[in-house]
Amino acid sequence: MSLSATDYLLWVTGVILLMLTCWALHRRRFVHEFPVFFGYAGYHILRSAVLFGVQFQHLRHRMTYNHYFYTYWMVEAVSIGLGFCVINEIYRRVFDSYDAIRQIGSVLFAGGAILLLLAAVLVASFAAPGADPGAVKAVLLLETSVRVVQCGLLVFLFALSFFFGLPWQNRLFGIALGFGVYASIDLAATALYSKIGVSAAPAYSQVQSIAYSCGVLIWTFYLFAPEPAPEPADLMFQVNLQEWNQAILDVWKR
Amino acid sequence: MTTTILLIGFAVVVLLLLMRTALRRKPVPDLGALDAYIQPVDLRAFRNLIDPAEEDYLREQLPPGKFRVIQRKRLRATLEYVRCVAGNAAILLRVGEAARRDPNQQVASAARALANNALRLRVNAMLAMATLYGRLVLPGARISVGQLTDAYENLTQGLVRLARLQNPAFASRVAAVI
Repeated sequence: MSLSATDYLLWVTGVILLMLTCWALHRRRFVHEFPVFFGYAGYHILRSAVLFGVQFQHLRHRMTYNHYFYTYWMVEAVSIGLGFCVINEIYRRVFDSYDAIRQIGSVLFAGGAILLLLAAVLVASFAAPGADPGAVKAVLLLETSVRVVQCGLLVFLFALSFFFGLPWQNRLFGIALGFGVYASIDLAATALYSKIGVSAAPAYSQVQSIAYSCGVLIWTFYLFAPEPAPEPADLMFQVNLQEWNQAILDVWKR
Repeated sequence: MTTTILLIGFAVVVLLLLMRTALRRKPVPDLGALDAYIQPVDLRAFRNLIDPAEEDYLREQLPPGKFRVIQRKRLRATLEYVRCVAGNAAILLRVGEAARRDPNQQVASAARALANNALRLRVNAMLAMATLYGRLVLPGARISVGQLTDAYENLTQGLVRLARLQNPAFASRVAAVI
């Protein structure tokens, strides 16, 4: 397995952007606010270093392709787990600020994840057999299922935010957006690759790297972007609010 | 092949949805220009529309077919009012959310109360919209949502009790707001 100069360039770009993301989290004191996301970004830098080392050893014929394959999927499994933890952290951060709905963030995340997992298993069971051997096919099905669940969870979160009318902090929105962009492009690429087979492997790998870099670029951008300045709230609006609420309750009481 | 197309279609829809959300994010309204964001709601006209006595009068005076037509028009107008209230609640929620990071504790706590009340109103308005859509399908039916109202009242009383235990001064403000 040899990588082209473009592959290396995309790989290094992703790592540099991840380092920028970690630096932004540290510099703007967001680490305590997003500890799981910081861990996820840090883990991905470490993951790249490990995979680069294994790849280097493979090129020097000190390791076989199987070593790289199993190392990749072991670190990827941890990455998938951490990815779900980050989405759970986003759910909690969105709902935690409001007393009325504080408890439901984790419940909605768990409920949504279970439903989407069932849907993903259903989709995977209907997937047509591709040209790839068994292990690769299993891995691609797993990747597809994971991305379906991740995309679904993020769409569900945006729909809930719309329903409740919840505002998003810039940084929180950026983390969710970056995840969503990466997961959706990766889902489309994986679905296509599963159909075409090994001949599309180089292009698939590059699309994955570009999607990941786009996601990390979005994180970096939103983490550096300033939050809107707070405006003093005026209690006079609460008078109207009370009247409106009573009028709405009257609709129910009819 | 169908599964592949479905998956790619789903991914494209998710991507477009995310892009649309990112491009159409609304800024936090400046309080000075809040009038430009808030849609006025004529509460008197709204209350008249949802007055049960008014509905009973129309039901008695009009033939059933005519009543259903008129009632649908009234329900549509009510829906428009509720939609405005839901939109206004979302705007006030953003104002409250932005101000809760204010270093002045009083402002921050007032903002927190504003945000929570706005959220409660938003949820009520969305549920009221669902009820109204149900009544649009069956304009002659009386859909009872009394249990939900009771649950809402229990919730607000519980909040006042909790606030009274934690901070009596804040409790009176909560009681005044809800």
